[in-house]
Amino acid sequence: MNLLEIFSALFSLEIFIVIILGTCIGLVAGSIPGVTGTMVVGALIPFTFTMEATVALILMGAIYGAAITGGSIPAIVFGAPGTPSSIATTFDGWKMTQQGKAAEALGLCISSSFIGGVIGVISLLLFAPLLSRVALMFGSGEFFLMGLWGMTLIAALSAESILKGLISGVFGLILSLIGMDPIVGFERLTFGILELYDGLPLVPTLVGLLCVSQILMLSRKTQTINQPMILTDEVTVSFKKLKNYRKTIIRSGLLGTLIGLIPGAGANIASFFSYSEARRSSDNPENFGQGEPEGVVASETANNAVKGGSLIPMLTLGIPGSPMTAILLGALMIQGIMPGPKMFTEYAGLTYTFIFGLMLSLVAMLFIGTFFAKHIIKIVTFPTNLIVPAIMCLSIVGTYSINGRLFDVMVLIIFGIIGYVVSVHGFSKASLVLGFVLGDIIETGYFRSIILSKGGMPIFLTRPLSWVILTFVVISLWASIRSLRQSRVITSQRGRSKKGVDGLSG
Amino acid sequence: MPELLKSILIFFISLLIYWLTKDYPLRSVIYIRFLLYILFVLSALYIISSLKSIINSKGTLKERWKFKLRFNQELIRLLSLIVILVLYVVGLKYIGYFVSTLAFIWITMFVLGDVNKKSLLVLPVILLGSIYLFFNILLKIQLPVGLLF
Repeated sequence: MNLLEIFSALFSLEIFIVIILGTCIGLVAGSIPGVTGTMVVGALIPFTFTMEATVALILMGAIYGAAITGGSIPAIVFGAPGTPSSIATTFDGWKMTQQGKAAEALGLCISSSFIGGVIGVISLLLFAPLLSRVALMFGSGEFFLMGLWGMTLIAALSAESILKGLISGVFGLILSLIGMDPIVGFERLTFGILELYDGLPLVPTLVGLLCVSQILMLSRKTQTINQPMILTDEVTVSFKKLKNYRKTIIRSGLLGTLIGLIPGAGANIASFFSYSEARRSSDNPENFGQGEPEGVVASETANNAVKGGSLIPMLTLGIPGSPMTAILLGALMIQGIMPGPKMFTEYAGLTYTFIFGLMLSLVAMLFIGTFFAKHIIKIVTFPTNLIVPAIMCLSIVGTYSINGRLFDVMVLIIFGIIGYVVSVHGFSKASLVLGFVLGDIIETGYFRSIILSKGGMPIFLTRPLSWVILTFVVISLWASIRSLRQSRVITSQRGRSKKGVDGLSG
Repeated sequence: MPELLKSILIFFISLLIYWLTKDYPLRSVIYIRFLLYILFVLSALYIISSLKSIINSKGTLKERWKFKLRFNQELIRLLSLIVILVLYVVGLKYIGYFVSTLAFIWITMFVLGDVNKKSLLVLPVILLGSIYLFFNILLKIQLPVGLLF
């Protein structure tokens, strides 16, 4: 199949409708807390049986990409991320909304999501066979070190008190231990509750900690989230604004693609890493977490770049690295296609049409996402007694729909209350989430490495790739400590100058 | 004073987790113990820093150790919402999704502020309609059906 044939297959009415439909469904689904793109794609699989393989794959790809961006819209507008991949977007996006810059944050979110998606898809198009070898280099030792690297972000997320941030992070790690021991198979901290044997359910716990706690916080207010001044700005996609963040975009895009390659690491981990690296290399790291647009750009570029990266091992080796790619793999197998090296030879037509289809779906997401954001932003001016029941209902139905059990809804509410208490008392909710998300990678990675080392030197100290990651861990730790010191100096200077001003005015 | 209470509470939570894991096999408990030892050190540091700030704070000795829980309007609204949420989950089991959600929306709207008749009607219709279309029709997800109907 040549390029002309690919494009003639791509520019058909059927593909056009599927892209628009998939993007709309993805955006709506992503913006409902608890509902992820994976869940929607999984639910729609039966509809794809009768579709052509290309059409089915493009529909799923469009939903997958749009759901990530959709999740970031409530993260910015309400501080309640729709999907776990948008957690890092909340840190600065929500602060920007509180400062009356919701339109700017949403504009940056959509445009950087587009760029991130493009970087991921281009990597898939040009470097798939090469990058698939990188994916195979990752072993348990590297996973353990990646987890440690992620934990160095705690310093960045605990501007108020590093001690409280560390306590929150350790509690997050302990929460991740609930359930069966991955190595020995012994049940831990389950209190005999059968549903906890598989561990705390990820999505209900995260939605509870981040979304429900935020809603509880909002319920204390009687007025709107923000003044109508935000409506004076319109959500516009401006690539000119992104020029200021060129380095962050390239770094985050590449980081997102690389993390996407690694089986088990997903968009949420990519956005955390990218956020951490953007903060580390920024001239003003103390602005991160206070409404820094670069934080939104870093997180959004990375979580969207993951899509392209995660498709590489699936298409080239037939290894699904995430639940979403596992579903796509299943969809391909239903169509009688076995992913692997043949995808770029025998099934090259299908593969390249799918990749170019992903690119088109990104363009659709740019336009539909902007339209969607323009309207959803108006909700910010609604009174909280309308917003609170609405988001709470959506969170509950979204959580329930994952496994169809009320236990998940109880977990959601309990962790909502925990998240609220943690925030109100000055602890770091973000560090707690970070510990919980990375806990499993750290524990499993460490113990597997020790077993594989057979009593010798741990394998995470013997492999070249491990040393590269270890270097990043040390650099990141050093940078975190340095920026923590800087922000303390700035805070004390601000305190002194405020005292001076107060003294003068007094 | 509240900081000291928080730090002591964290220490006791760590102690409780330690006690809960005391009979675990060694292979399974190593990592938990490692994390708990870190938590003990951190909570001890937290207790020390809280005590330091109490000692360094201004005011009389009685004022420094004063701790008061204020029941204001905000807290009452919050606690009411938590109670409504728990009742809502119970309602999901016994009276089904749509009836309990309708009740939840109306009660929450009343508890959180003044409501007009228009929003009392519009919000549930839009919300429940969209949920039905998206979850029941599009995704074919069975929402909770109560024991009663």
